[in-house]
Amino acid sequence: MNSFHSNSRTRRSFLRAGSSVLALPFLETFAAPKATLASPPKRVIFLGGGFGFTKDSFYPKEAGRFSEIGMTEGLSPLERHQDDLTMVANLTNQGATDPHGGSVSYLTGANVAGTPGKRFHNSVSCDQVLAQELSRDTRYAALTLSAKEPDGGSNSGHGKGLSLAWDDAGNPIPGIERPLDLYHALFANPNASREALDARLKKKQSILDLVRLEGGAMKRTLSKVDQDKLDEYFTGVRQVEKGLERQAKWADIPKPEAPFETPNEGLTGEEAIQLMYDMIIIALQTDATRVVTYRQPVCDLLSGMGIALKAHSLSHYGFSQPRIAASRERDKKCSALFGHFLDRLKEARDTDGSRLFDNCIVSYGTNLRSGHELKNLPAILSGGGAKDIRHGRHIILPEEDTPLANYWLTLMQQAGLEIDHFSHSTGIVPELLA
Amino acid sequence: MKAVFLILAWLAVLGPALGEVSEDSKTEVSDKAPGRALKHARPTLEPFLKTYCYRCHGERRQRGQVRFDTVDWEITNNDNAQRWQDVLDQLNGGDMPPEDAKLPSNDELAAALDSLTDAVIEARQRLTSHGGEITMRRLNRREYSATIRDLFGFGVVLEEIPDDGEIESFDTVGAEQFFTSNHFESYLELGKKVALESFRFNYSPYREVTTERHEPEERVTEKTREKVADLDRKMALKQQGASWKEMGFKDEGEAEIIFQQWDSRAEKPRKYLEYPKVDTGVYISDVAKWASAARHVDLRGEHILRIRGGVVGDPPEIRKMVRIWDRDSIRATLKMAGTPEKPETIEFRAFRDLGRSHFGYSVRENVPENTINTLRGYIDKVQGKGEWTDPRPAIWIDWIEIEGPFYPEKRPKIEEIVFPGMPTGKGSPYIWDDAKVPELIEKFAFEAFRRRAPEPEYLAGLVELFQQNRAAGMDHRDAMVEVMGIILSSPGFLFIQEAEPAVEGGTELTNRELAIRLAYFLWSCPPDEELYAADLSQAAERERQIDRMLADPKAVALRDGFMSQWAEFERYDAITVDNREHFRFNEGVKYDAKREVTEFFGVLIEEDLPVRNLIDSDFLVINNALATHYEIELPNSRSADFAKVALPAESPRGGLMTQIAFLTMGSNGERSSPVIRGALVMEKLLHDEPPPPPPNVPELGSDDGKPRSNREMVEMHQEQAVCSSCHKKMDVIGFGLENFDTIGRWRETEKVGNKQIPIDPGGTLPDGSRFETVQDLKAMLLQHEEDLAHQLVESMLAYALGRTIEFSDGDDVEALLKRLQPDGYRARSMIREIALSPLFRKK
Repeated sequence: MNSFHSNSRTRRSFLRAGSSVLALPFLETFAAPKATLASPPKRVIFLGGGFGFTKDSFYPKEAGRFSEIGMTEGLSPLERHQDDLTMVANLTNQGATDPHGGSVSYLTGANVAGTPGKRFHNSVSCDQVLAQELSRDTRYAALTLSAKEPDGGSNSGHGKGLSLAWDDAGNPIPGIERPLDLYHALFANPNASREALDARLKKKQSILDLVRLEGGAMKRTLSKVDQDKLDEYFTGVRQVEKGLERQAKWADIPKPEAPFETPNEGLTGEEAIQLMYDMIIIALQTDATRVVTYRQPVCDLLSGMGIALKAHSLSHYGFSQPRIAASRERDKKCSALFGHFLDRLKEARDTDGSRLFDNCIVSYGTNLRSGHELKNLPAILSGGGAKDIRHGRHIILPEEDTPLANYWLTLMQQAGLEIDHFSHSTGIVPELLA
Repeated sequence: MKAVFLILAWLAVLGPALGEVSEDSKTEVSDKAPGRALKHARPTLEPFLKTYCYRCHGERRQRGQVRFDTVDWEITNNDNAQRWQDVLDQLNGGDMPPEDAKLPSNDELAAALDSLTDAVIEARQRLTSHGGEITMRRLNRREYSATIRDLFGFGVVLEEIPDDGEIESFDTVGAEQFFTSNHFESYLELGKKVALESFRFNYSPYREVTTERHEPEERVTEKTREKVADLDRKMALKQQGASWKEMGFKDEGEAEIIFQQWDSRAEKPRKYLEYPKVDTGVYISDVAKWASAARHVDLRGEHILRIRGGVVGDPPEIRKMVRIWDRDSIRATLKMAGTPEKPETIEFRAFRDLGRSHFGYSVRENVPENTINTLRGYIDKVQGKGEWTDPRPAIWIDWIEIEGPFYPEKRPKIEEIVFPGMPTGKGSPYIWDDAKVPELIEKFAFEAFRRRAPEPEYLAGLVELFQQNRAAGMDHRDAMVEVMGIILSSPGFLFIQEAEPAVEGGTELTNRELAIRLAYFLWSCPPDEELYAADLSQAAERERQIDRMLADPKAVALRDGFMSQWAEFERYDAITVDNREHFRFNEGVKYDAKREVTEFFGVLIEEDLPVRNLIDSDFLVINNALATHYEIELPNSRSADFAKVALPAESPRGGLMTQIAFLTMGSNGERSSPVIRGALVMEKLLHDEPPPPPPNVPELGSDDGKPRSNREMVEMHQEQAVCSSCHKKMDVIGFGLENFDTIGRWRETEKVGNKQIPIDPGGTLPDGSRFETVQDLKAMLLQHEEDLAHQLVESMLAYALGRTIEFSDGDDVEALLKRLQPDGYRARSMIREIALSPLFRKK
């Protein structure tokens, strides 16, 4: 078992949760600096943004070092990170067919409409493959974050599914949707005793046994198709159980104390994203998990910016000057938030005193380039965890529509997986490593 | 061009090249076999490929290992379909043929795209066919709520129920549902909440009807007086040269703001207080934004909210409406009646849901919410400028009353169990008696599982858990709540299971299963006593039950559940109308517009009218707010109910197409979209759904800054073959509706740049037929009423069976249509025939 770096200092109310200014120098020392790991573990973070960005103002037109070609307007809030960023052009998700589904097969590469006899079928996402390898000894196999938006996934450009993550069977994995719930997942509840936890786990287990018993009786009378459907129920129950098992295993290892007050229940948009970003960093620092996905809110972000349009309406910006302006505004906001995330990653110290940033692979993007275009999607990469990747460049791949799966494969290998194929990859992206 | 070849090279990697199936495998296929459409596309496509593609992808050369001259004109598997899709994408994306090759004319390309698109879509549908098999489904949100209501007498707010996810067809289609660990956890928690609420209500006797009256001025008038007096005092001090501290402000800034905004902060309330009836009621205005009333109620009963008041002076119609809010959702709009001198009452009735026993509503004028700071700008727009400090109210409210509870005729099932043969609340043999718990658990689980006996081991386990909880010191109620929570998250409750037929090869549902399917189709909830007991193997009894059920108020579940999805309310909800520009489109109208669609369909069902009324009708089903929006006379209604009203013969209104919800959905919130409107008409009314827009087609519209009419912008589609193949029909249909603006109001002109340009609502369809007005367009669509009927039958069947309708259902659908045709495809008959059809009785 890895050491768990609980925090010795009380920092309650250090941060005012929900305020948009979160002073976070504390992150630097959140994990007590005891170098118990020879080298810090690799972490991988996938951020997904629904609809893409504004065509003319976000994407760099030429290849080269950002320090030479400069940052575009949309990327400008990331200027201070320009030497730590890579952007790749000419990637296309071969599986993606849904022009409103930026996130459906983003990490899976599956053609969700391509399975005989099924209207919809997805496959496992690369974060889950990574989690199996990287997160064996952490409290959570993966942190799956999402956002519940009143307008649904299609309107925000995410499409079907509940998060970026899909399990082995291709079923959607639900995400933690509110900062408040992530807070509870990460931090100690001062009122929870070991006995109470044990009793709760035991009770829960007997409940699961009961519903399983009932389902088992029902299953015997069902047709094959219906049995498969019922198996989804069993899988759901099994997932709860696995969670309990992991919880039991970790019960004696205290969670870190919360460094700030419980966040408001109703945080949305920018505030939610920022807080999620900050808590992701704490999760990684305290080694609660090593793999994170985050399907971000889009419509809420817009409405918080005072843009009354839904993300879908905004994606049809072509004909309207005010919409183009709003779209560009949104790009900058996303970049600014991402820049904030990178700032914090750089401030935060890892187990060996190095920057957390240096041990992370951070990917940001979506299936959709702009509007409803599924070709040449946005792919932004950062973090020092991919040792063979030298950041600071915009790379235009020589082949148009290079499979996105190749990109994921490259990142998975960089994260230390011994794997030579993922989804419909045809190889890695050698240009990234050059 | 290099890139293009690389893409094709990738194609080759995916699988064998297109044309590798040998010639002799081509056989004549029947019309029902997969690949029909490609075969039909061949006469168009083959010459096209020959002329423009063979040179590089033919006998001599197979660039990118793609070869067209030996293709098999069938699509038999997904790889095959994918490769044709890739061909289509290449053509759509303009990547092929390459610029240096011989290029097709726009018309040739459009025709080729047309036929190939159809072929690929049809092939995809066939290849994803489930062969008519129904996948077991879980109760969707609507059904969960209605089922809980059936058991306990109160529903659950839909947002509190686990999400149905993104559904493409209907929420009853099991194949589209997912179940995750979150679902289980949420159902368990929710089940416990329901059980706890049940202990609060179902064990107590029914209450007497009582009335509570609220005088809204009590909240407002005295406070306003005090505020004005306080401000006057401060102003007096200011004139004496006092400091902000002496005047009693928090800081200097506050003082500054107050005096800067003196007119709105002091003069407007002062003017308000001069109105004659401020001591007996409130004038809805900037000073008193709303009036409200609340009381705690019995969730099992309905309550009436009664508002007494009147219209002040002679404001425009739109200002006579009030809107009723429940927390953050709208429940109704009503038109105020009477005057402050001769007040009248208006009322609305409502049930409350789980956790909402606090019956609290606020009433305000039906205005856009963005006027929350001040109504002045809005009032200026609707009735012209007025005196700056005058709050100009249009509605005066004397009092608000809440009366109830009014209980439904039948008790919830839990009370039938707990109080068998005796009135609720007295002398139950079960309450608080641990010894009786095993029996109670068994009875409740049986009812919750829709009368399927649970396994003995399961029941024993529940009893054991109860006893353990009791032994651990939990009280009777909490221990029982946990057990009920488990029952309500067990598969037997959550899933509508139709077991495998007892006889191999048999497909008939059992009597119980058929009763359940019927009940969920017509009521979205479990069967009642009579339906469970009915012998549904007899056709006459089935008919009798169906008629009885359709006459039951619970049948609104079908009207609302089906229509809200068929008419795609989710899409409508997603449109953000700019209501600064379109100030007549307020949140109340937005809400009413949806109700119009379902209420309209309700009238078709109730009066068994032909479904062609969805194309055109000589009546509307509206309330006062919509009558104002449509500028149609409607007798003032004192309730929130919708009413059927006859239309003048020459009216362009009537049917679905001219309803606000449809027209607004056919807009982007800023301007109307003939494209979306046309596509909707094709899909819904003509049963001819245009293919989804191909990905990677750039947005239309160049940014040359030249103002264009809607029509000019849309006509740009016609210039590009890729677009025109689909748009030549849908855009033209959409032009026919251009006399209706973004929010569905009639217009003669459209603003282009700074000018008002007359609208041309005419068009010529691809088949050459021509229309000049929306009335012409409707007349043309009416000639295709059988297509609409076909569309509706397929949709309603999908909703009823819980699966999508496929080619293999063709004969059954035809049979249904044949039965409905002589009578003109009537709505209620359609529901009956579907419920009576052999397909409906089959697993």
